[in-house]
Amino acid sequence: MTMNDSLILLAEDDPNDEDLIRLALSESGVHYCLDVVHDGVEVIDYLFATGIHGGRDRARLPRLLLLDLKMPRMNGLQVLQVLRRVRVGDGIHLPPVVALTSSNEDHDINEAYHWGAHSYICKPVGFEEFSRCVQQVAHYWLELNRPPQSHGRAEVMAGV
Amino acid sequence: MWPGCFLLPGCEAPSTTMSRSPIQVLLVEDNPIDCRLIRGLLEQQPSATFSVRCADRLHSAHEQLRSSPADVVLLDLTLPDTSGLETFEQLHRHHGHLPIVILTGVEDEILAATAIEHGAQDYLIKGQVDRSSLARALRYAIERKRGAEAIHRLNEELEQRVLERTRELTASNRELEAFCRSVAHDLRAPLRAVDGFSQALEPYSQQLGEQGRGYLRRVREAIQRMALMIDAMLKMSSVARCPMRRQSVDLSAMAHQVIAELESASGGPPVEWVVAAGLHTWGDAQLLWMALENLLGNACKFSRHERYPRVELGSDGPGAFFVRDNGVGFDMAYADKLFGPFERLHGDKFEGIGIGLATTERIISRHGGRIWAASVPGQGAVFHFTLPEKTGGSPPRGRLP
Repeated sequence: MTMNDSLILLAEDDPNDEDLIRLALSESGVHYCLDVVHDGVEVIDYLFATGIHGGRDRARLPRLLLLDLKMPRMNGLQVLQVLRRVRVGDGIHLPPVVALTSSNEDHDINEAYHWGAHSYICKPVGFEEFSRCVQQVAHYWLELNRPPQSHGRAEVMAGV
Repeated sequence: MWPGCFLLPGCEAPSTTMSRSPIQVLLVEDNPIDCRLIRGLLEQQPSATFSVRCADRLHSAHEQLRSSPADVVLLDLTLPDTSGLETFEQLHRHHGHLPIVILTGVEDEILAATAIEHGAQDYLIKGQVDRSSLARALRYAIERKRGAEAIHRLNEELEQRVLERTRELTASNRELEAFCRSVAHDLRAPLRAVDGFSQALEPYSQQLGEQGRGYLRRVREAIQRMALMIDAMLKMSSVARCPMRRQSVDLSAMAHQVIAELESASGGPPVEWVVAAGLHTWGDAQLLWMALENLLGNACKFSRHERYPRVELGSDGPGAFFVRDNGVGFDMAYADKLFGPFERLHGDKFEGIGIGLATTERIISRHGGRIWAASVPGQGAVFHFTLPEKTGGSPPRGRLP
């Protein structure tokens, strides 16, 4: 992996799911590198380079945020609500957010979209399907999808 | 005196009333002679238990009752401002809690019966009552009214309690449903881990040996089965709580569509489908589709081993339908297990996890209908079900085997 590989930020508190996602991504053929955070507070710290991620290189922007909804301290929906408040001109570039969660509840799906998720995926139970699903997401958002290149990035990508 | 009375809380024994304070009587009577006479009868009681006030018009009776209450009203029906049963009705309407005894010169059995039916405590004829019978009539009237009021109050309390219980039950049902849903969700994550990591063992399969690989295969088969069960549980729970969108549904047309899908998915021998024309109901199309899919799919599955499989959808009468097949059937001894979730009467001979009929039963009962089945092993099975016929209608009660 090089610095030119697309950076994925994975927010996932279940170490099993984390490893399974790593396994799936490693077989995806997509050039990526992966940073993992384990709860909602850490997602915010990472994206805004604060708290335990205070020393992070702000120039290194994730191209994709894979967001679990059920996490300790601050859940995925709350993370989306915080990101929603970021305005154009704040100088913070937010990646597209894909909710990747076990929940298949209409309420969670609707809320996630309401607060600005760009996509919602229910983790399949079978690993083959799960793996295929993670690979398709990576392929679509990192290779097919073209993000905006300069100003207005926060606006478009965060769906504000 | 009133044995039944002691069963009713709030109902005091008459003796207590007597010894405590005089019974307040409002006498509504416009004839001054009658008035004096009746007052005399009551106030000359040996123990002086009655205190009598008089009103000569209905209007003033209302006013007196408003300013100071009475225990009982002794009412003449013929007054300057009103007459007949209307006199009683007017007073009763405004003072429903008050026992009213009619004392009139009109000897009319039909009027008497009507007055009692409308809530009068007694109907006495002037000149036919003496000191003791009048006193007794008034005391009994008070106690009877008290008993009736207590029963009324108890009934209201009971209704209130039933309402509260129902609310509690509904709430705990909802809680249980939510709990099951969240458990089902939470089970998916560890299951995904088992499936994923057992698959990650693939590169080590040479080291596992033949037997080890067999075990691993069985682990993964069990996981797939459990995943299906969890999804089915979640689906069944959503069938029970999703909002119903009722509309007119052409069951015959829907059955033809379901059959087309079943045909394209199955690879067995051709099934002879018989669908009666013009079967209609009023219900949720999406749920009814699932029900038909389960019933027709089951019929097809369990008759597939026949030489000439035949499945029929028909009607038993208005709002009553059936799905019949000529397949393996089932032993009626297990008929009550058919609709339980994850119950399977045929073991592993047929695929499936035993959730279809449980889901179907929920769908039919959400429509207010019933479903039951009959069979002779080896001679096929028939599933009867009832559904509403039209808007706002309820399905026929249906027969039980």
